Amino acid sequence: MNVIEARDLYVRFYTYEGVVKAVDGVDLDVVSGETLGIVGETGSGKSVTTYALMNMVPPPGKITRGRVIYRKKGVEYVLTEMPENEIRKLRGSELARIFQDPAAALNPVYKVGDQVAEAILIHRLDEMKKRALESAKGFSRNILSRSEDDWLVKFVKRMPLLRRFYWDPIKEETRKEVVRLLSLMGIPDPERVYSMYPHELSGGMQQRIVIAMALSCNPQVLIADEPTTNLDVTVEAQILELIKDLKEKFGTTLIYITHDMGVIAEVSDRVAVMYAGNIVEIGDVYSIFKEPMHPYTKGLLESIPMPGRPIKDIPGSVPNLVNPPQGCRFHPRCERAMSICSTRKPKLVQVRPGRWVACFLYHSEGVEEE
Amino acid sequence: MIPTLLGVSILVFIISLAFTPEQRAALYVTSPKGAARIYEIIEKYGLNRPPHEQYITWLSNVLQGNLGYSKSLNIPVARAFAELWPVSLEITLYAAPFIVLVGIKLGKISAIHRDKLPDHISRVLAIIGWSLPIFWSAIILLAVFYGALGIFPPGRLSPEAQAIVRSPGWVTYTGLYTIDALLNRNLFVFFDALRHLFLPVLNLVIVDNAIIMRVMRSSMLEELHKEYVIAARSKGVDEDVIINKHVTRNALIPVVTLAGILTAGLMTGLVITETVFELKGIGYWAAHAAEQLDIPSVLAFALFTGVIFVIANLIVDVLYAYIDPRVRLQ
Amino acid sequence: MSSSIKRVPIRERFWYKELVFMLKRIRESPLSLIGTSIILFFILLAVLAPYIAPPRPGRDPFEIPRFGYVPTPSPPSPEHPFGLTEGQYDLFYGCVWGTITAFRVGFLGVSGSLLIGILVGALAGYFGGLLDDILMRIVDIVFAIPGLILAMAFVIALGQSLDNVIIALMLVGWPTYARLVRAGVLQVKVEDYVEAARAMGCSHSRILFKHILPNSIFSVFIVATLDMGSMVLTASALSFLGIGAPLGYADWGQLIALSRNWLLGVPGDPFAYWYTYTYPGIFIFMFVLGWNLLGDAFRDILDPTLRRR
Repeated sequence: MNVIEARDLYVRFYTYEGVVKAVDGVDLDVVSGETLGIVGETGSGKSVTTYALMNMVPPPGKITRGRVIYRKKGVEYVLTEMPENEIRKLRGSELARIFQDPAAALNPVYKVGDQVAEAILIHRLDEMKKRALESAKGFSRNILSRSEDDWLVKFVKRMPLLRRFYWDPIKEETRKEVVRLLSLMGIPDPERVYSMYPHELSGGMQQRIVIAMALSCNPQVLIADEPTTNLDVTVEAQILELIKDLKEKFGTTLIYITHDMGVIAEVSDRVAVMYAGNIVEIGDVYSIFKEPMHPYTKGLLESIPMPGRPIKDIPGSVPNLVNPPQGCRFHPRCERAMSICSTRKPKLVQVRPGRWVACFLYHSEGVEEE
Repeated sequence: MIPTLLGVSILVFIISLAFTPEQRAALYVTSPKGAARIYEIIEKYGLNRPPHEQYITWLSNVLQGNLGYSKSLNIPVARAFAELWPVSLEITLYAAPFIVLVGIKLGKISAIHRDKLPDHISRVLAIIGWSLPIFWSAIILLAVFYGALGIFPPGRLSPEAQAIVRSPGWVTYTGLYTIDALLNRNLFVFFDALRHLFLPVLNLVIVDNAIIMRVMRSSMLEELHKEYVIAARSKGVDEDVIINKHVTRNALIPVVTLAGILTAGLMTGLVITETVFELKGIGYWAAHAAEQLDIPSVLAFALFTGVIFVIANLIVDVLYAYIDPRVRLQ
Repeated sequence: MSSSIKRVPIRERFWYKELVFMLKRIRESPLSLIGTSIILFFILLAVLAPYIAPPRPGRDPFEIPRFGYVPTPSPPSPEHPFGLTEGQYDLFYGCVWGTITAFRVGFLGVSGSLLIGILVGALAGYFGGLLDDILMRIVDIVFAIPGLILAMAFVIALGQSLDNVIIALMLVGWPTYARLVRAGVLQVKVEDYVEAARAMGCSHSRILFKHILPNSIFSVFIVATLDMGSMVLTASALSFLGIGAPLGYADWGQLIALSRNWLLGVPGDPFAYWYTYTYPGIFIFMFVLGWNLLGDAFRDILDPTLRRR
């Protein structure tokens, strides 16, 4: 079952220097439970695509065309057509994200524990309230046992001194849950770490906090945006292990973005290769590595430094996305470019079961340019 | 801090050297009789000696509380301070919070609605406030609200309230009429004093909030693009909560550093505002003294403002650690 | 106040590009266009002053002509378009020639502060060490006393006159520039092309003037524009308090000082003497507003974090 489907996705950024066509016609299916690796250079549109999957493309960007559908238990949510306050309920609880720079992703003036707790208090409030009820005493027990429509509950929640009877037990339960999550992340002494500030923690620890934040409400889909790029190599290995572990444990669908082919090989089930705003190839990780089809994918694999083989880089550079090349975006750098490549843009077509390519070397379906 | 304070005193002292020994004699006496015996003073305090010796003498005098004699008020300078500063304190007590709150609010609105109408209006208001000569805005306010409408008079109290305050039943606790009125349980005087404070406070707020608004705006704009905002959004946090909880808290940090500049602006504003609205505080005294060449008063006031500024910045440094956890480790 | 201006070292070669970019943005921003027009208007007024309000032959043009000695102001009339203020001084004449005074005060004050400030800041930033500590300590000290109040002290020490007001303004204004320039120098000092210049054997002053200074110039420029306005504000405040321009001098602050007794009008007509404070006040306000708008627009334009959006 596809847990996420993106069809005909176009994202544009309206900047001072012109309109950046960051994502230019992307179709993507994400299968439930899989790890989909998205690989590409900087500027390929991989991050923006995943923001679009959560419908939170930051301004000045906008989804100008296309649909994103999220599926859970047979219910279809068309994210591109839902009002913002509805989508917000899904973010954090169903769709979560971890970031490349963990220090920047954490608010410097709040304790890390509180930041992990934030999502829990939004999406799992009823659960925490129920737990609090079991251990609450006295007036708190009274308040928590009543329904939310009860006049007393509404009154107490608004009164400055009284509201602690409502919130303290809930916050305590949340805190316990956060501590549990932190230790699950492999964080030592989680009680103490709860009260620390981001700058007091190492990069690896910060990233564990960010992961805890993302998984706090047990989301179905986790989008990992280059989570190890900024970390030291040894820490990178630990975090990768952690992510793989957690994915096993929770059965989360993982979308892993990176530019590092080695990480892709280690972590993904399937791989999508992106270039200049388009997906150029999709396939399972083994066949992509063994038998890359698109010239760009080949180029990526060949440019990995390996002993005994000369480094081969891809000539040229990533195109300007305000004025991308006509036809196939890659053709100026492609050694196998044909004349059709400069006039028509190849469509992403399934050429074998499980294998999709956007290249006229393998098919002849073009895309109608916008 | 101490070196700067000393430096300020040196600066003031250097300025005083521009005057003749006869004129400077007034810096050392505290009574009219003393002022007459100029040559004795010159001898006694070594006003003809080399500057560094004079400085020591002068500084030790100042530290003992002897700031000279004010010929514009006919009382010792130190006493003038003690008697007049409650008025200025009262104005500042009301003006400062409003300046800060208005500035922050306008800055927030501007940042959130960037480049749209509220932003333009806020910025124009702030710039207008900043371009207005304080004495002119004070004059216009007075002409309109008192001259034409009669609602907000100059001075501190109306004659009726003054009579009450001078009566034997009145206990003066602080010298600030609004507070004293509440302590004396007299609402009439309380509201009367407030009515007289309205225009001076408004004047200060109009003119001084611009810098706070501008810093708040640019600081919020900067924070709004930070990654933790996107991270919070990805958790499903409400946009209002993101702005009011996450962003504002971080954006306020640079604003705190403005406390020193704000104090300076307030003191400058007091000089003019007190003069136009006839509130006899230290600002009024300084303006008056300058006009009458009352040297000890002007110099003492300059020294005072310098000291206040240094202290304000010190408080900011302390507060900074409280507000920004990143700084606390030091 | 350097904290509110972000600085980005600008590569020397792209000087011109930056300037062109800046001019383009100025043309697009309505506020800066308004500011520029206001200032152009005042420049025009200043240049045409001798024709619009001809001075009396043989007298100092900055002495406002009096038409009588009666204290009560006279309302506007065809011969006196803005009316006569207390002591029968012609308001129109005073406002027009006051424009020249304002430009003079602002320009000289800013130039003087700039020169002292740049010198101090460059020396402190470039040489560092004890010199830097001492100079910056002096900056802190002068900063500690608020501008108007320090200017008051300087003016009564130097003696009351408009020239002394200008000197006082210079003495009060230089620390801001010193701090700005020093910060700019510190930032640029470590750039590679400075190292390269030093390796080539350039003398200190050459490095300073040719490489470092041009890059710090932009933020100084912004502050100088804003300062034109604030110096005039301070100067007019001093005149208002009676320690600036002498009585009868063509100075806007002076004119407002003369209006103080007439704020409340006469019983039954509170705005009877509106012209005595309105005209000079509007002149000051508009003059300062023009420079502030311009400086604010420059600040926005040159702020790199706000630029590319």
